[in-house]
Amino acid sequence: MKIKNIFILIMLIGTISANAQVENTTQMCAKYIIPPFVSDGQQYRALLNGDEVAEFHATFYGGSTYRISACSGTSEGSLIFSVYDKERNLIFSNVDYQNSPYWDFQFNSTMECIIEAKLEKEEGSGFAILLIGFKQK
Amino acid sequence: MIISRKVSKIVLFLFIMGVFSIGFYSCGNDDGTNGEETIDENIDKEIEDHGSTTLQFEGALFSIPSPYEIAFLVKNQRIDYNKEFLNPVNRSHNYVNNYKKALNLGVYGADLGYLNIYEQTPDAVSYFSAIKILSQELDISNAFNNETISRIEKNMGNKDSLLYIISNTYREADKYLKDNNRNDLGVLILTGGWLESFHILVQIAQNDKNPQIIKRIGEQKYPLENLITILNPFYNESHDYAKLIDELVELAYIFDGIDVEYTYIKPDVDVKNKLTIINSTSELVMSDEQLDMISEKLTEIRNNIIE
Repeated sequence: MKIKNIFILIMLIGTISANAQVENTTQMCAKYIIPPFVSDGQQYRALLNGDEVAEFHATFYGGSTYRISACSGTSEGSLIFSVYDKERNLIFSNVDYQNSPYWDFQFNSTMECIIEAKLEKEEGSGFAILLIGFKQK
Repeated sequence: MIISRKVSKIVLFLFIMGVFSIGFYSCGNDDGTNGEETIDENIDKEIEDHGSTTLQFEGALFSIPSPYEIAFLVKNQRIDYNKEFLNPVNRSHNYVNNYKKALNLGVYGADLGYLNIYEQTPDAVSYFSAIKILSQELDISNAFNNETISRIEKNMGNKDSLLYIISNTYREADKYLKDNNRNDLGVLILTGGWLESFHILVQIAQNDKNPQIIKRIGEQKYPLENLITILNPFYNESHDYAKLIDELVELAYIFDGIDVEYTYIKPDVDVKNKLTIINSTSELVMSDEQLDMISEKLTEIRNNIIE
């Protein structure tokens, strides 16, 4: 057995463990994307370190209502997310609502939005998971 | 020999520790201090080893709206069901490489959504069979596992449940491909789904100048830009990827001519219902000529995918 193999094994364990974290955080997030909300079929994730900010660009259709669910780590409220329009006008931030893990948005017109996500605690690191669901009409 | 045995013991110890840390975490460590620290260490290791790649690729993410939203719009406009819009299910056997399989897994997913919303159960069963085979051939076993397949089959007549399960299944597939560094296929599934729903809109617009449908076609300008951004890192993956991206860029050039006038208006908040109402407006002007050009280019791209 060579040192190289040990290194590969440690890498493998790290990857499996990181995937386990993503899985648990996704499950926490997914419990809010339930009927009448339907998932957009994608899972958005970003590995954040310290005060890094992840940016998510999304299109929301006019006349529709969406739910954004955003989570990190093992407890709710660990992720701060803010929604901006394309001109960077702040539309929403969950900081104003006790770091709520989800929020609904009703769009009158189709818009491009930027969703920013960062960890609540600036120390440490973790995956930011974001899910989007649209309301079935 | 002695050194080798010692190294083997270290490896065994690390492996056991790793399994314990994963097991401990998977069991749900809500208060987690020690477990979290172990995971943080592993994540730190991940950042060290792969972090730059992950952050470059995932740090700025671009989403594509669900094809099912388009299907709902079409149904709500009281537009009749038309099977001709869809990619015939018997073509599924023609797709021999992963590139075509992934694209058409997206195409058939959008078609299944359309069939489901119009409650065309017998056809939906055929399309689901094609999806099942393509997903197995692409080895997306985690998402399309036996339990999920069984749930889908049991809910074939239940429009709402089926839509929910299928959407979650596609999200699981997306996650599975990301977990396994197979995003090259994940982006193709997204592309196929978006193109097919766009194609359905364009087909309708050719026969019926429904203003809501035409407006939605013009609004594809945004997801198209996002899609190109998502696909771009795979440009050198193969000639097929490069050709697809080039074609989408050509389509985006046509969209560049469409004017969008955006006006910011302060949103309203309904705290009790955790709802923000976005009042900003976005007006889009598209000529008949631009619509024709978009239709023509889109048909060309789709034909290359489904043929």
